[in-house]
Parts: sequence; structure tokens; C-alpha cells
Amino acid sequence: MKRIIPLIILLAIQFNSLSQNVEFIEYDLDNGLHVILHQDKSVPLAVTSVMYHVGSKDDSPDRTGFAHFFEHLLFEGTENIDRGQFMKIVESNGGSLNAYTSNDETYYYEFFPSNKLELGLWLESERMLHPVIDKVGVDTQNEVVKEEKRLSYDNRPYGQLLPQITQSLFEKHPYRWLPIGSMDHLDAATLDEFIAYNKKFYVPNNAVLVVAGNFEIEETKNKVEDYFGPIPRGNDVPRINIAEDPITSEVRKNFYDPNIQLPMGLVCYRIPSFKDRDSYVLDMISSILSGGKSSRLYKKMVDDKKVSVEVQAVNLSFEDYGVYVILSLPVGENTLQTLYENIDEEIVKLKNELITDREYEKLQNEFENNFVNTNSSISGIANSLASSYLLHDNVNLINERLDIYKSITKEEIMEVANKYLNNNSRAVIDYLPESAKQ
Amino acid sequence: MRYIKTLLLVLLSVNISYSQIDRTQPPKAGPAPVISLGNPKSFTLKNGLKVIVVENDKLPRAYANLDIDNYPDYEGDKKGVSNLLGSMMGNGTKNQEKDSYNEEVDYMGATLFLSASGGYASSLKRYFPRILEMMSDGLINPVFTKEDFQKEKNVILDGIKSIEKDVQTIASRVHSKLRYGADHPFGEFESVESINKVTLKDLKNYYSTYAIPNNAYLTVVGDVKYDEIKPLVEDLFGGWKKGKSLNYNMPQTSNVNDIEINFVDMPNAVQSEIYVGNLMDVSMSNPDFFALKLGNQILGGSSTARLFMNLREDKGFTYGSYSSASTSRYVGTFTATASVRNEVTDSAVTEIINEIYNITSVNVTETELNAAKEKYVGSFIMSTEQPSTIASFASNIDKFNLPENFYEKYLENFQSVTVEDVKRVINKYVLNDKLRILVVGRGQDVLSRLENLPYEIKYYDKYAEASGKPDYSTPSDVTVESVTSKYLEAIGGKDKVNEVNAVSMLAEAEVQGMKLQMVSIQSKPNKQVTMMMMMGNTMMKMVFDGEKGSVSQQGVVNSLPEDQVQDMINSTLPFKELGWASDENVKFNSIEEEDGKILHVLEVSKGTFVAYDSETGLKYKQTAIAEMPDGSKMPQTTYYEDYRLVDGVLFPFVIRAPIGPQSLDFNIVNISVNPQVSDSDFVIEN
Repeated sequence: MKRIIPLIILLAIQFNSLSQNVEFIEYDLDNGLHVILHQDKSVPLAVTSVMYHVGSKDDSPDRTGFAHFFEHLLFEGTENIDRGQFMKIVESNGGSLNAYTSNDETYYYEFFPSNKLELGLWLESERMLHPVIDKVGVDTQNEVVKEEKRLSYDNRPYGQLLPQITQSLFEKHPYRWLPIGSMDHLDAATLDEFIAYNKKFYVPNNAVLVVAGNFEIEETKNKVEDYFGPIPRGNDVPRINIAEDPITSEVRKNFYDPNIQLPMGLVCYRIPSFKDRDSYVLDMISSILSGGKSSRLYKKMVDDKKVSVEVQAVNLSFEDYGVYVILSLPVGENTLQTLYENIDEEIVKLKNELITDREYEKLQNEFENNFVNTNSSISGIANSLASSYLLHDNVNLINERLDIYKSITKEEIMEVANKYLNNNSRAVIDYLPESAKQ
Repeated sequence: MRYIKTLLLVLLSVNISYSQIDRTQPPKAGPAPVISLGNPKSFTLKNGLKVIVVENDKLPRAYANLDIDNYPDYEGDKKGVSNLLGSMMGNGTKNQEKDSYNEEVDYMGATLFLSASGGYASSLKRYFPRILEMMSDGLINPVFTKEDFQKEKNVILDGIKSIEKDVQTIASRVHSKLRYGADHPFGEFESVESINKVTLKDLKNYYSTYAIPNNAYLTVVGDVKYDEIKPLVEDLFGGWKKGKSLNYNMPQTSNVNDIEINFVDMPNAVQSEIYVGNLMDVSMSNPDFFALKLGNQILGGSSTARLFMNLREDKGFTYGSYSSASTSRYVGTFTATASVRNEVTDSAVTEIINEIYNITSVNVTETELNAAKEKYVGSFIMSTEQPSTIASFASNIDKFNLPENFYEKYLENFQSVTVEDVKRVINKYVLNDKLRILVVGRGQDVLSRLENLPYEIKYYDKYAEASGKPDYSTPSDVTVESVTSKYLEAIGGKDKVNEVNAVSMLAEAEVQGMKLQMVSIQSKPNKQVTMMMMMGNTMMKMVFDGEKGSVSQQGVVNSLPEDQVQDMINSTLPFKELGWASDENVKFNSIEEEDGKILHVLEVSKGTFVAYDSETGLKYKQTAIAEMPDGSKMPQTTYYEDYRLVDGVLFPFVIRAPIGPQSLDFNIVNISVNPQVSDSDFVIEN
């Protein structure tokens, strides 16, 4: 009897389990700014965020790093906000802020108690309407970005990992360089070039504004119009369209990093955009291979055979293409070749055998759990809404993502493994300590 | 005319649309928001467990938090038993083996954690009944094995040993013991002895005495229905046996009568830890709570507060200075802290006292108060987004006897605090004439100047036992000469040492499972080469050919810095002590005590100290003070142990370098006295 009660409740709860929709309203201002409002009155806070459709893939090959540089530059101040005040205004109002630049997009957000939502709208509209782009700001941020590059790439162990991977997989596409770009290019750029870049990309018709949290919809629509309406529309923004030739034979190379002691083996595949269904399947393959201690590669290489300190399969995908990397570090005297052989065995297995029922169920649980938790904060929802619109052309993806994962079958997993994880279309990089150079 | 009319209309409409806003100023905030937290429902089981359910169907997930709210327990000579118990819970049950228990949690994508004072479980909604069942099973039917007991005991013992020289940790535990008293649960701390006294039986007794539902709270938050959770919890936790009521009277605590300094000498301290504060009788239900929190925010609640602005921004004394005002049902505390450079310890104490005096006697400004309110209100609001905050609100109301609407009125109560309130309240609880000042630092550098302050100084050791004033006077018979010759005598005598022209050595250590090898050759008059290798790769090589040197790290070659070159030119390898005896740059520094040994310390170059055991004469340790990028200082110490005879001369066979809680231990594999060496061994790299 004791066991039956929980069982009944379990069943009852399961029948109740409906998907939790993130509701939103979307519309365009006359100047082309796309606006998404997500009302959530359960918490007295509000996020204002703007995502611009500009990333390092929009940099020209002789001016790499521009998009990332602008993420910094646009904190310098505006016609109404003195230099250095942006951050102080946010802090003294009990708020917080952040920003990032990726290969495809640039994102800014402010987080305030809901009674200060208007302050967020003011800050972001000031940034879009009339940022001050002058020599002092450019010089200041030039130093800041150089310091960031030293810390995050030049002096950081394995800091050249990503460019080594992308350079091996891309010959033409701008994904071959990192968002932080080249310091020489930034040094060589003139103030006029920065002003022109701003005019080209940081315009309302190339952005999405998301307001998420506790607010009244009509009132907020009016305020959005008040603050963002007067911003002039920019010219249509050109999109790059660069196709890579297929890789037809395995690329092999060595790279020497002065900042490391332990070598790392990298097996890299070029995969399609994150918009492609196959990219979702590859997310699941990552989880099968290296998600948690019971995953295949971890259990075999780290737990049982103890040939590897760490092994990870990562799907890193962008708007135009993606990269799929399996990286691992050897234990003691084990060679990278040993690691590659172990990885290959598991890839072959994935290509020829269906995963077990238990693995399949675990995947379902894991992806559902992740899905639920990504929508657990207002700032997370704001970010998802912005990228769903700007990069996926479907705001409702925020609600549909789990359905896509759930519809993936065991057979499809096998199919996708066969389609992309092939030896003749991959790059294998021995990422070695400088001292191994002879 | 028509054009003008149209233009006017356009202008007008532009005016109408945008007249509401003035871009030149930041917009004003609306009225402070009211937080609607929803009404938690609660019920109490027969065994006393109070269950609070917060229905929140925003996401299809749920979690349970268990808080066993016993009186603070004094563990006495077995302090640590609760810690040990906590580390052993949640590792399988009488019904489910450890491996299967842990795998099942993973399979569900869930989280589960248990300890002696509570636990936490979270999962997707559909697995919540199961994870709750596993939580109750782990709590009610735990398994305690001898193997696990010994394993966890060793982990805790290692932890205790690793902090014996950690100035910050010592300062914190001494401070607690002094301010609350040795017989107070908040004042006691674990020791090697107290952990060793704990038996598996004690642990089981502790479990049955304290892991009881009498005063426990189970908070369930998430996509659950009260009507479904209630029978489930009754079923899963109803069998949790009620324990004997625990009666415990908290010992009396008291503040000092006048401001006094408590001093602990830590010869290895490179900066002083300062605590200034008093106990206060104020709980969260006290209406003064809000003004107290705001006053503290202004004094030292952030990196824009007064203490930070004064001690760090203005004076540059410190890497940070903050204060806290903690309310409690048992005994509340006010504490201001700072870590400062040795030479400004006394000035830092004075500035902290000044700031405390200032805020207790002069009104804060409206601007300060408003900024503090904004910061408090803002971070409070942000925190309400997390379900864990909402859950703790619910149980706090019950635990601390707060009004039902405490958290709904929270922001309003902050907003209504005036500058007069802040002054009155701060003055009431922060006792500017009854402050205990604890300084833990290097007495030799800081004590004489502390003595100039107008406060009595009491001395304690690092276990908070009263001790005498440290004596820094140097016996006249201890000199650089006496220390070095005693050392040379101890390792084999000057004659024997003089016969050694060269020494080569191979040592090995393990880093994260990998073997690290060190090869070194030292040869008269002052040549040396040291190599570090890992997995056959040379990680570092340092060469000095008698005049100049190079150091290469992973292929990058640099010349040695000039000051090091000078030291090396003057050194008398393989035994530097031969030359130090007559080197006027080498100074006698101090007498220290460590692990019951009296050490004679020489400063052999700026920031480098070598300590010799006064009894055996042998070299005990070497400490180099490194300056970190943020300006703080970090001592790096090497210990020399296990001396063994090689060709009539004693060499240390273990060279130990603690790094944080870990230790890099080099074991000597081989030492050769007077091996074949030639100049080709000391060729510097370019």
C-alpha cells in the first residue's frame, strides 16, 4: 500500500505535464527596429536588451575585430551620457549590465527593478541613437581590448585552440578568425572607419529590442516608441554569403602552444548551421559521447582505461556553419594516437549501432531538464527571444526547441553520425606544448 | 501655405509623440514595486516536521529543501562529528546500494544532497516524487560503513592540517572563539585531536539525536499541487522518528568593557588580518533591522562604501575593507574587517575606529542613504527571481517569528528609513566604546606600533589560548655566524663540507598523477644547473655558468634578472652557508616557533628567509615573499626534511613545497657527491 500512493501521484502529475509556453508580442517600429515584449509579472524586475545582427563574420578580412571592438566602444558614452557614466548610472540604480560579441551577433542588456525599466530603455536608445565615437574613446578601448586579448588568448593555456580549429575547417569564410580579431588591424583603423562601421550596422533595422519582465504592455509600447521611434532607419544591411568547398581528405596538423604542458588531441568536423535540424542531432551525439560520467567516451577513456584525463565532444555551431570537436588530453605516457583510436572506435559504433533504450531515455531527461532550466531566468529568456528572432527567424523557437529534440529518433542519430563524422572530411590537430618542438 | 500647414502638423505631431521624454536626463524611477510572492501553504506532521509548499507552475520542475533547525549544538571535545556525519550521508541507503542510488539520480537528470542539518533535492516535475522518495530514504535509512568513515575522516584531517599556517583561517577561528567564548557552539572549532576522538558510534549517536524532525522545515517549491504533495510527504516523511526534545541553553556572551586589542602572533604573516566589532542583541524581527542594514551598507557594505573608499581608495592600506551587521535569534554581530600591509596595521586600526565613530555620531548624507537603499532594494529584487530565495522567505517568517507580510513590506520598510533612523540605530548596536579589535599578524613588524595606540593589548596563541607577550629580543649569542656554523657542523663538519666540490641530484614529485622530475648539479665555485621535466619534456631549465645565467621555460629563453645574477655570483655552492657567514648582506632576522621547534631565521637576500632548527642546527625551511599582480604578498615556503648521510654529509631527502591545501613533495632518488662535472654541463642557452 505504501508504494501505491506515490505511484498514483506520479501518474496524476504526468498527465498534468503540459509544455510551459513563453508568451511574447512582437512588432516592428517604422524605422525597422523589431520589438519583442515578454511580460512576466511574477517578479518585480525587467530586462532591457538589444541584439544587433553584427558579429565577427561581418568584419572585413583586413579589419578583423571591429564588431568586438564596438561592444566596448559603445559603452564610452552618448551625447547625453558622459564618458564613464554608463556603468555608474546602472549601479547607483540597483541594476546590473552585461554585453557580449560572437561570430554572428552582439548583445547588450540591463537588468533593473521593474520601476526603472524606463532607465534601461533610455540607456539602450541613447546607445543606438547617438553614441559618441571619438579618438579618446577609441584609444581607451584599444588598450582595454589589447589587455583582454593578452589575458584571454595570448597568455592563456590552450588560448589558440579555437582559431586553430576554425582555420583548419574554413578557408574562405570569416569564421576562420576569432571575434577579438587582429590588434594590427585595430591599430591601423582610422576614426572615420569606426564611424562608418557604426552607421552601417548599429541601426534599428539591424537590431531587435527585447523587454522582458514586469511591465504594462501598452504603456511600454508607448515608451519604446518614445525612446526608439526617433532613431533614423539605416541603409539595408548587406549579408555575407560565402560557401566553403567540401573537405575531401583528412587535414593533419601540429600546433605548438608555449603556455601548456599537457598535449591535447583534437578531432574536428565541419557541420551545418545551428538552424539545421542535424545540428540538434549532433547536440545529442555530444551528450551520448561525453555528457556525464556514464557517457561513452568518458566511461571508456577516463574511467575504465584511464588513458585520458578529460574528453569532451562539443557542438559549436554558428549561423552559417558549425564546428564539431572531440578534444581529449592523455594521461601520462599515452600518445595522442591512442586517444584518436579510442575516439574512432566509438564513432564507428555510433555509425553502425543504435543507442540503447536506457541511453535514449536518459537523453530525453537530460534535454528536457536543460530546456526547463534555460528558461528559468528573465535574463535567459530575453537572450533566447533575441537570438531566436535575429538568428533563427523564429521567435517561437524558444518554445519549440524541446519538441525538435524529442522528435529525434535513434535511427536519425545513427544517420547523422554517418553523414558528418567521417575521417576523410575532418581535421586532426595535435595541439602540443612548445617544448615538444624538435 | 498648405505646405506650411502640413509642416506645422508634422512638427506638432512630432512634439506630441515625443514630448513626454527628456533625453538629456536619466528618466525618474516609478514607485517602488511590491513583490507578490504568492501565499505558501503549510502543514505539520505528527513528528514535528513543518512542511511549506510554494506552488509555482512557471516551469515543470520542483525542488525540496530540508532544514533541520536544531539549537546550535556544542560538540565539545568531539567537535567535528556533525561535519563527518554530513560527509557520509547521501551515499546509498539500507534499501539501495551506493552505485545504483547515484546512477539513478543521474539518469533522471536530478540533483540530490544530504547532510546532518538538512538536504536538497531537485528534478523535473515528473521525477519529483521519486527524487523526494530517494531523499527521504537517504535521510531516514542511511548506511554508515567503516570504510567511508575512515575515508572521510582522513579528508577532514588533511583539511585541518592544511590550514595550520593559513593566517586568514586562523584569524577567523580565533576571532569566533574570543568573541563568543570557548564553551559556545559558535566559538568552538575542529582540531586533529577532536576529529580523532570521534568514533563511528559517536557518529551514529549524533545522527539519531540530531537528525530529527522535531524542529525541521521541509520546503517544497515548484510545479506541484499542495493537495498532491501533502499525502506524498506524509507517506515519505511520516516514518521519520521524532527525537527527544533538545534543550540547550546558549551560554551567556558579553562584550568587552573598553576598546581592547587581542593580538595573535603569526611569524609567517605577510599582511595583518584585522577584525573590529561587538556582539549585539538584534534579530530580524526587530524593527531596527532595516536602518541597521542600510547603515552598515554605507559604512562597509560594498566597494563604494566608506571603509573601502578610505582604507583602499584614499590610503591604499588594503586590498579590501568591509563591514557586516548580522542579526540572529541567538547572538548578532557587528564586524568590520580589513587585510592590510604589515607596516600600516596600526594606522588601519585607527581609520576603522574613526569610521565607526563617525557613523555612530554624525548623520549620513541623503545621497549616501539613497544609494544604499537603491543597492539594497535592487539586489533584493534580483534575488527574488530565484526559487531558493522565495523558499527561504517562507521558512524565515516562521523561524524568526516575522510578521506574515514581512517580505511584502520589505522594500517599503527600507524606503522609509531616514538619516536620523540610521544614526539612532547604528549608535544603539555598534558600540564605539566597547569594540574588540583582533589583529593577527607578524608581531615583530606590527606590535611596537600597535602599542602606541591608546588600547590595552591582550595576547593569544593561534588556538585562542591566552599567552604572554612574544619576546623578540635576540639572545646575544645568536648571530649569522653562529647559525651558519652550527648548520655546517650539523651536516658533517666544516672540513667534510669543504671536501665537497660538486653535488648532483635527481628528485621526483607527482603532480595530478604525473611524474615531475628535477635534476640539479651544483659545483664550486658558483655554478649550477636545474632542470624540471615532465613526461620526458623539459619544462624548465636554469643554468648559471659562474658569471651569467639563463632560464628557459617551454622553449622560451630569458636571461636571469640582474639581482639574481649578483646573488649567484656571490654564492658558494654547493653550500651557500659557507659564504653567508661572512656576507654582510645576510642578516639575522628573528626567532620563530613552529611545530614546537625554535627556529633561527636569517634574511639571506631581500624577501628571502632561511630558518634553521635551533636544536639540531639543520636547515628547516626557506621562505620567499612573492609580490602578486594585485599588489598583495604571498609567501612561498619550501621545507627540508628527512636528512640522510651521503658520503659523510647530511642532505635532506624530502623537499616539500605546500601550494594552497596541496603540497608538491620532491623525494630524492639519488644524490652523488663529487660527480664528474665539466663546463659543458653549465652552458647557458640563448
